[in-house]
Amino acid sequence: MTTTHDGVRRTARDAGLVAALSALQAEQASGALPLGPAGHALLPESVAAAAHGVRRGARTAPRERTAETTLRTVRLYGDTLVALRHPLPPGPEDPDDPWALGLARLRLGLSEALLDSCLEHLSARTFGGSPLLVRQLVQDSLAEALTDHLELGELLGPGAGLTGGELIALHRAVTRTDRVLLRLLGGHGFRTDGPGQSAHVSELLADAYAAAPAAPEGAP
Amino acid sequence: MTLLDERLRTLQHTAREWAEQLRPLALALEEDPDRVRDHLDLPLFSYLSRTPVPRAYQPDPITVDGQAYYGTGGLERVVFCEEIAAVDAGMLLAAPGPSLSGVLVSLLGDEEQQSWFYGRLMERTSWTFLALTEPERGSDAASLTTSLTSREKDGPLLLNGAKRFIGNAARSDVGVVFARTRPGPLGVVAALVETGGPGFEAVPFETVGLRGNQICEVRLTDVEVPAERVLGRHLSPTRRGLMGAVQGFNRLRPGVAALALGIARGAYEYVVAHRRTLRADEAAGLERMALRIEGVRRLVYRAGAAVDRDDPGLGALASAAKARAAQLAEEVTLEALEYFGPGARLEHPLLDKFARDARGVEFMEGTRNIQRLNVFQGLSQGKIDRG
Ligand SMILES: Cc1cc2nc3c(=O)[nH]c(=O)nc-3n(C[C@H](O)[C@H](O)[C@H](O)COP(=O)(O)OP(=O)(O)OC[C@H]3O[C@@H](n4cnc5c(N)ncnc54)[C@H](O)[C@@H]3O)c2cc1C
Repeated sequence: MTTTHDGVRRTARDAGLVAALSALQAEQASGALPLGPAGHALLPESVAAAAHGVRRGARTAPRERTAETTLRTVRLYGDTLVALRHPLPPGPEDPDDPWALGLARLRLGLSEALLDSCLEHLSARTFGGSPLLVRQLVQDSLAEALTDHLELGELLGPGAGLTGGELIALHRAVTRTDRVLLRLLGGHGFRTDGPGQSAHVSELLADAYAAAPAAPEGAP
Repeated sequence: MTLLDERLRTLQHTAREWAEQLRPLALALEEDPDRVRDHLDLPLFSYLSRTPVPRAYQPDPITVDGQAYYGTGGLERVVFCEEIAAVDAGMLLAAPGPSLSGVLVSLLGDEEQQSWFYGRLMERTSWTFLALTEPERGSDAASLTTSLTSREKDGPLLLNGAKRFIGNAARSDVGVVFARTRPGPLGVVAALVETGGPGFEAVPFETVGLRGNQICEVRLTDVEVPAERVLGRHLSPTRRGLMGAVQGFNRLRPGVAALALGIARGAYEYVVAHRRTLRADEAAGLERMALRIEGVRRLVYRAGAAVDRDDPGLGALASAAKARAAQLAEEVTLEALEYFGPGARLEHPLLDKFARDARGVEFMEGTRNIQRLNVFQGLSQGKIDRG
């Protein structure tokens, strides 16, 4: 099993976003597009192409390609991911959707990989002759990020029973930590061919699957 | 508190109108930064291609309501940048004109150099670039290794090295390159470099945001630089070297702060325009956002005004404003997305773009850490007027 509580986090950290997302989909939504609360999906192109059903929590339905809209494609290290919107299957909202929990673990693993990238990058870069890693402001941010990871790791560990709202808060926390780490990568983290693009796609995953609902728009 | 006079309010109002013309073009420019060429007749680009140019070199300034604008004022620059960035920071960075180099040339160039540089830009619209950052070092600019030396006595000066993250380098005709003539802090100079000759190579690469800026890798192999193109020949080595660069960057930084401020404001205004009925907590959140934006605007104005006054606290004020504005841009753009629920980044590409652009302003003209170190220096040296 790749996606036991530690599996998907580990896969994300070691093998990256596309491998981990493919594994999570295979385990929890095999053959289907996992949909977010408003019907969005973001998946590797080949995984999305092969899906013949849609799933939202325990609700499933056949995929209706004519009813879906492709919103965007995103490139990541030579792979392409596709974002689309599909009508939700009928039925009431499932209070504990294992997809959102798996995704939080996946994003935590990616954030840990980002920390690894920072350590590698900053130990090789210097200021005034010494590595950036010896700067206390840099150490402060790294310590902050690691502490976030430890805390999130505890909350997302085995047997985690989190509500939808709690998961949203944890996803938000992963994004915040990623932003701390992205700042540490300097301009390097702003290139689309590096770790900064993976962090961007990770944010897109949170957006599609784990954002809080906005207030319904009534009449003006 | 720094307030805007009539003249600056006119510019602000006009810039806001010009910016509106960009809104429908923003996503297409992002897709292909070269599309900017299709829009060079817009008034925004006429302004940017002719500012900042000092009065002495500008026979034909941009005139609005009978007032001439040269783009050389600090407050003028921040007011303008905020308005454009509130719609599309990428477009501002995609523009031809003297831009960042213009500020350095006006500070460090002698009369002949200024006349050559501005004259050339007035003759025909072209892009410029400013190259300081190198692949091995960004924040530690003082250790740069790109060299400007002659191989034999009285031989031509040759530029060798590499630069990275250089906006617009591939489409520019000329730019300012920082290089080293000898070891040590006094060995750094800035030179005007033409891109058309042999040995100059600039290759764009893709970035997560601010794509209009078309950021490049630059490789310099024996690029010939005539001795008269080394800026600041008329200044002492202390004033033309790194010190000159620091002064130049102090004057540029409020503009980058305004860019970040504009991005935050753009995201905020997007929420206001597209969300009509708000829950009480959402309304309160927006109110807090507006207050934070206003607070940062005051900081940015103060830094802009410090440029105009030659305030000794300029460096620290500009750093305080820039660090805070970059933080604001990141936070507000993420918060703004939350007003649109799941899938906001996919359904609202302009808001997604603000959030990606915000990530980039963190690095322009120095990261948050570097700014905070500057602010502390200003504090410890008593340079900031604390009232
Ligand atoms: C959109 C964009 C446009 C740009 N345009 C240009 C341009 O036109 N011309 C140009 O020359 N450059 C340009 N740059 C480059 C920019 O100036 C650098 O990215 C910036 O100076 C930071 O350098 P770096 O990326 O190498 O980060 P690094 O210096 O490698 O910094 C990495 C991390 O270490 C931290 N750090 C570094 N030194 C210290 C220290 N002493 N103490 C504490 N912390 C420290 C930083 O805060 C950062 O978090 C641009 C960058 C971007 C993203």
